Amino acid sequence: MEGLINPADSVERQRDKLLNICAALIKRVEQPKVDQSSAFAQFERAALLDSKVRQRTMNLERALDLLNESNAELAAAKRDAEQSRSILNEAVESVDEGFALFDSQDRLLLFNSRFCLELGSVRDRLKLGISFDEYVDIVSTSSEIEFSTILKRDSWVTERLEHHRQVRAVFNIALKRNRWLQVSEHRTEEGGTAILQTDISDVMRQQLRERDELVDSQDKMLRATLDHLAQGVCIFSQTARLAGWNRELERMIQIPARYVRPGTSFATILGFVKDNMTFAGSYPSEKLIAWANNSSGRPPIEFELTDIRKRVFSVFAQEMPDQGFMMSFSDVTSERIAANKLRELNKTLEERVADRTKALGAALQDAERANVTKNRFVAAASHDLLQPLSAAKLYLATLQDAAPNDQMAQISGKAERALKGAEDIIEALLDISKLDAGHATFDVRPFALGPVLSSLLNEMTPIAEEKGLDLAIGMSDAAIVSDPVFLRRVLQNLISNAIKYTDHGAVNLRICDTAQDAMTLEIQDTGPGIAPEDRERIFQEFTRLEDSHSGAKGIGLGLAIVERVCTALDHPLQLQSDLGQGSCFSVTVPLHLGANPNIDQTGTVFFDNLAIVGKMLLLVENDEDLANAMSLRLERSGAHVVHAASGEEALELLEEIDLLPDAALFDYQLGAGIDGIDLHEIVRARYKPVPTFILSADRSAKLQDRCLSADVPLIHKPIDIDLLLEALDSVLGY
Amino acid sequence: MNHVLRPVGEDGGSPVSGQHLVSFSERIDRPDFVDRIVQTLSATPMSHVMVFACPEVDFASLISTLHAQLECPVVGCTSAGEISEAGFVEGHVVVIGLPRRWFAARSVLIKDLASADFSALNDTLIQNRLALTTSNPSKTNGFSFLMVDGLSMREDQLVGAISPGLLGFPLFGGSAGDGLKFEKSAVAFEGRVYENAATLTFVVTNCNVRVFSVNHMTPGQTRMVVTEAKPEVRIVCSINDEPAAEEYARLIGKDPNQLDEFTFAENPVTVRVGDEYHVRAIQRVNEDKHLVFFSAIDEGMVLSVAHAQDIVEHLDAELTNITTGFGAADIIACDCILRRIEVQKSQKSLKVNSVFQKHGVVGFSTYGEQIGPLHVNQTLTGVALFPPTAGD
Repeated sequence: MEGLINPADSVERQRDKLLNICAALIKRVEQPKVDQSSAFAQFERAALLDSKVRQRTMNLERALDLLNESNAELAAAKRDAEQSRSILNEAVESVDEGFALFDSQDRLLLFNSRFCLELGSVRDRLKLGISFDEYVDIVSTSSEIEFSTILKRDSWVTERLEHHRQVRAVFNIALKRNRWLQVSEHRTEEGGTAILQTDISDVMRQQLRERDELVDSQDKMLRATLDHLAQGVCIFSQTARLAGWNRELERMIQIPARYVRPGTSFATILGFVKDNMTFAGSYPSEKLIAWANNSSGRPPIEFELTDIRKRVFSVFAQEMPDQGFMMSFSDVTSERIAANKLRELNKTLEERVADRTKALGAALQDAERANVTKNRFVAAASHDLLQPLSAAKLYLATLQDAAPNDQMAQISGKAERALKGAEDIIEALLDISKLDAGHATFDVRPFALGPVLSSLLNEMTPIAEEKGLDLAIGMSDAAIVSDPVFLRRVLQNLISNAIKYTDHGAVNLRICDTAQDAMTLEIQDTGPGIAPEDRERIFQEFTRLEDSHSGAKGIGLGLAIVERVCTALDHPLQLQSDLGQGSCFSVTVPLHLGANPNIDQTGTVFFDNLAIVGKMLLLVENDEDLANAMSLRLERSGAHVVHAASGEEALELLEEIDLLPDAALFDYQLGAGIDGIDLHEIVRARYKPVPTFILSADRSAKLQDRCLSADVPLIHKPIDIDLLLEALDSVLGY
Repeated sequence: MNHVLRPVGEDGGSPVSGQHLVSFSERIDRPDFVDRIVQTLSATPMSHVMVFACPEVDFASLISTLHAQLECPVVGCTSAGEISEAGFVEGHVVVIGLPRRWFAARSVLIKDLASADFSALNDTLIQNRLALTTSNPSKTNGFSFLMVDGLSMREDQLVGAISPGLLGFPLFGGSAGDGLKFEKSAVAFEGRVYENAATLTFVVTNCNVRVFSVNHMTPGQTRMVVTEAKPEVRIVCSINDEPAAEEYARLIGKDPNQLDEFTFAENPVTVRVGDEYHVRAIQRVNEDKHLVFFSAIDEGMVLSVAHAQDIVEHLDAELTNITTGFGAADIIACDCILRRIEVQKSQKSLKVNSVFQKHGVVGFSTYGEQIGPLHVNQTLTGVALFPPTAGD
């Protein structure tokens, strides 16, 4: 180290040098790790690594040498082990008790001559190498072991193996002739098991004597306890013999002393009880005997007894740990009386509830009837209103053509639009009344969405163009499950609504695949949007958002219909809108999954050319299913159907609504009352002729003659609906 | 088994083959030396040829001719002196042919050492290595041989970076030299000569292989601390806060104005890494009285002056130790120029030559040696090739 200092230097120079050397060393030691790219750092790293690798290789070679050495040692150890074993055998033999050793794989390694000596002949079957399970199995066959009714051989084996699973276990095995063997098991460090067997018969006998004395004194205490109880108690042995009871029991069931003696059988006591008391709920005494005669495993039971003084006893019987059983008697007379009173009261109450329910039912029926009447009225009235409106429109059209000047033409044009508005309102009211009355019958089935959308596009485009809006409707070839007519109505309403409330911009119908089994139809507009507080309200009837500067002549019923239909069809309806951001209504409809060759490719029925659209038809048909089917089909074609189930009902109805239908369909056979032809004649006589068809499956000449003479056409059942529509069309057409 | 060397021919140019390599040398003052090389090599189907050429030769012309006339790839480098089958020679070209019967090889050129990013190299190396082993399944032993421009000063980084890509192919190599001029050294690849470059040759063979490095230095007690350095050019400016050359001279007890190669060879300094000492050889004293090294140095490095054992005895003992029990050997050696200087100055050339001959050593004198991931100095580093284990 002295070399670092040049003795020729001055002390100051030496000091400066040492400081600079230190600085260089410190710099090197503290060189940041990031600067490891320097050549020397790289060299240093590589050198360290290289020496490590060499060190490892050397270690490996050393390990191999050691392995060879230990192999040699192992061979020597094996020889030693053999020797040790024979020494061990000698040692084991010199022990006074039975001794056995199992290895960690539970194989019998060695045992001395005293092992299992007390268990008799089974000892001869013990062989070195048998498993512990085999050993227990062999031992359990010994005729010397005292198995009890409780501890059968199987459970003895299970218990013995359970002991073996513990690291250390000491337990006694009962042998015949009142002898006992104490077995202690220890797990050795290597996971083997050492078993030591000691004859402890003398000790055990002494213990048993002491226990007997203890039981005696416990018995006295029990006696006193029982007598102290307010319940009657009796205890039976496992064999159903009376073992104990208290004085309260004697007092309660008034049992003579000759019956209650230790050892009296359960059957004898039951016999007395049966003669003097009654079992509530006819609990069969045979069942009770069978229960008592079980030697063990009796479930707890409970029953009631009534004696001649009408006193009621609740009896509870339960098995005890020693397989005997105990019964307790409680006097529940007063509780039962109270309960009976309650039951009486309850009965009265129920009767009153039933009366009220009946009364309510009647009121409900009245209400329903009133509702039906209302709906019929609305239907009829709407219809009745539409007729003169149509006429007025015709006149107006004529007037417009003949208008002498522009001003008049303008006025008549406005009048026409006003009338059209009124017509829309009435149509919508009609729909709502049907939906609310639950009369709207839905025809839910798979159909192709495409045609519905393209017809909507055709229909709505001119309306949109009139307002200068762009209308785009996405196309889809999907099949959905819905009611084609009502779904079309929903979409139409949403689109026309969007058009109404949008001043400029566009209305889009977008199709989004929301889920695997559903699609969402979104109608987006660029209108003013809807404030959050208005969202619920817009679905209410006649609500139109105030402050709409569009001047649109909305009737406010479209969305009410939309919501009702969507609810009824279970199509989730959603609205996303912010004021000034436009609105987006979305309807989610289920997709038709799987191929269905019967899908209606035309989608909806277009009834524009049928004369029955908007007409009121009176259908009298006593077969309700048929009536419903026909109503549905006719309504889908655009007619309003009023149905009555009999001729009498039909006449009543006509009286009530004070209206005549546009056409009538009468079933010929209408049950007990008047038939269809009679009805036709009465209507004709009472009002004025109404285009009528008789419907019947009867193809007899007699009926044909009657129809001919009554001048009414006959349509045979089963009804060909196209034929019927054609027929109606011909009589209703202009 | 005895390895018998044929006597060197009178003209010093007769080819001498070992057991498995075809190695020979030609004097470059013979006008037909290139033709003679081609002729000798043509006698045996070769998989690869390596040449170590003295700095006086027209290296580019030699390489392009060999490339044009030989069917197998040729790699090579310039030397700081050659080791022929006769021992230390100068003005020669030493040629080593790897016969196809025993060897297969693939070489890779690594250019622009000063700027190259070596981390990307490993993929190329591994691909070449796998291609070689896959097409030569019966040649189960291997080694890699590096020749690198000895004036590039990038050997430390290069070997450190490529060593992960050499699995199962222990590396040895040498830094190409320029006699004692330290001006221009080069490597050759595919008929062209490159400076600031290296060639790495993967070799597979049936022969048994042992890559080794011997070093006859033992570290002494005299220590010094590098207080100022320029690591990127391997220059130590000051030692113990004094001009490096002067302080070094003071510590070894020499006149600072008399320092030469022989001084450096005789009084090398070593650095301790882990438990081992590695020689950091001094190349020369520059005009600033700074010491220029042959390998990586840094500030704060502690150097200790080492003492040389007898180079001849040491070499013989080491080579005997390496070859004993494996049969006759062929050895390709990269021997440090400082060792050559020490031998020549101490007039032990004859003795060393006979040790080389005894052990079948051919190779060249280097500006530094590479072993495994390390660039070292003042060693003899090489590969010993032994007859295949019975069955081949």
